[in-house]
Amino acid sequence: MISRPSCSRLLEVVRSELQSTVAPAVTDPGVAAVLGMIDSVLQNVGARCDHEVAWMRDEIAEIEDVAREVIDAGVDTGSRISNALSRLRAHRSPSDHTADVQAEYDLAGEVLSSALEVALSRGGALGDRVRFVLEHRLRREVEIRGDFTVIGR
Amino acid sequence: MLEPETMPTRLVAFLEREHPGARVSVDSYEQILGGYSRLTARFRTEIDGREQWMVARGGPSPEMSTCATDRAQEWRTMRILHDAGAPLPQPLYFDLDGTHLGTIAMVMDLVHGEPLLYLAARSDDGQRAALADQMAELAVAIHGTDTARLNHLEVPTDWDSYIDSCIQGWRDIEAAHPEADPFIRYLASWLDENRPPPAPLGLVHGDFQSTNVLVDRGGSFVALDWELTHIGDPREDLGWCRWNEAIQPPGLIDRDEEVFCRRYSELSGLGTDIVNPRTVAYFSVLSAIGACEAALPTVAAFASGLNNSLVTGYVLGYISTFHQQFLEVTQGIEAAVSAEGVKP
Repeated sequence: MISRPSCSRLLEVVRSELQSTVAPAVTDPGVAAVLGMIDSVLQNVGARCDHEVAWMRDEIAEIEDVAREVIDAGVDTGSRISNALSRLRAHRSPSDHTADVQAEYDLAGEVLSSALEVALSRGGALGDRVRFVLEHRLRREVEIRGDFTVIGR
Repeated sequence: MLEPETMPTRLVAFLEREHPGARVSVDSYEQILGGYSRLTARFRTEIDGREQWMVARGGPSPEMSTCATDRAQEWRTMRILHDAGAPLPQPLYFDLDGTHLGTIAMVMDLVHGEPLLYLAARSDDGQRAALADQMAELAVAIHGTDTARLNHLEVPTDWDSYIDSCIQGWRDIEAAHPEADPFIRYLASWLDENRPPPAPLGLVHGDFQSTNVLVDRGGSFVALDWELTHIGDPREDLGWCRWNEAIQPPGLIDRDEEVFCRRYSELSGLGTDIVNPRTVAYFSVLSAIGACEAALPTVAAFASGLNNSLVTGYVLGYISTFHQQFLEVTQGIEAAVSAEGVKP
């Protein structure tokens, strides 16, 4: 396969062409709005495509670490976090294909949700520690999304 | 609607059914940009020589849907509220199964005016202050509408059980979505533990924001898009409007939140312990449930290939923005509570 230029580079050029060549020729506001949405979606895809699998794997590891901390603190009385963590570990991604890693990432999301519910109700440093992982996830989402402007309204 | 070129002919046939024996013509049919959820178009009619401008509002085809709501419920709500004197366009006709207009659609009177957002954008600060006052008046007018005849809407038994149901709604949305969303689970837990003082339940517009308000030629405000209307906490509308202002300025509430809340309190009779910037912030995230409940199923359908709307793909940016707001608002309220030693 041809791996260079990268997918993000190709998308960058497509976006540039849409903005410099296509957009000025569009006079219909409805079509201009569609073009704006296409650019927003391409920007998202461009931000994700070169890193998506690595980012999910990094976050899965981070979630496992914080889940372990909450369990070790002895507050997982209903074993919700432990059970979610067991499911995650029993269903590791068998490959680096995006869909496989997405399935594992989804299970890690459930671990994080359970950890948030358990730790936040207790507050304090443990709650802050779990929320920090959520903040990290948000920073990544915002990086992918970029500046968000409402189009077509 | 789905095939704009056929709409004048369809509308003539539809209006002739509504007005048997009348001479009907339709022209100047034009799609209106603005809403993501529905197809909207304006057109001119003459019925037995009497000119009237109207608006048709219908759903897109299922694979292009961006928002799962019930047109029949919206129609019924609008009819009853219009009769009760609420500030909305007069609903005129309804194609309940899409037989005549190609999709389930309603036809209403066209309000000649401009969106409040556009007017606010070209106003100076003093004019915006006046618009904010008028926005508070509109909100109070909606929230004070008699709901006795709205028996198709669920009436919560009390405030606590209503908030319980909203929080459970958040959990249900997350459970039904094909991907875990820790932000929603975090939000549901936080909302449960940080409840503000209760307010009397009443009519809630459900999508109250300056893009859904038209300013008519006389300067009166008219509210559009009643598809998410329900009986609930009136602060939901204030919170949702505030949320939208953050991504679509200029804001009228966030121009001076204290002033807006005081004005709303004066007009509604609700105390400033009930309506204040912190309680509005609480409801800015709680009230996002209406939009998420409508949008997330279409995102799921998009992910599985059953929905092909570009708008749905674009809406992912909104969802990240929701997540951002969930954290910013909850942490902002916690900081305020910590600094002032008061409850939300």
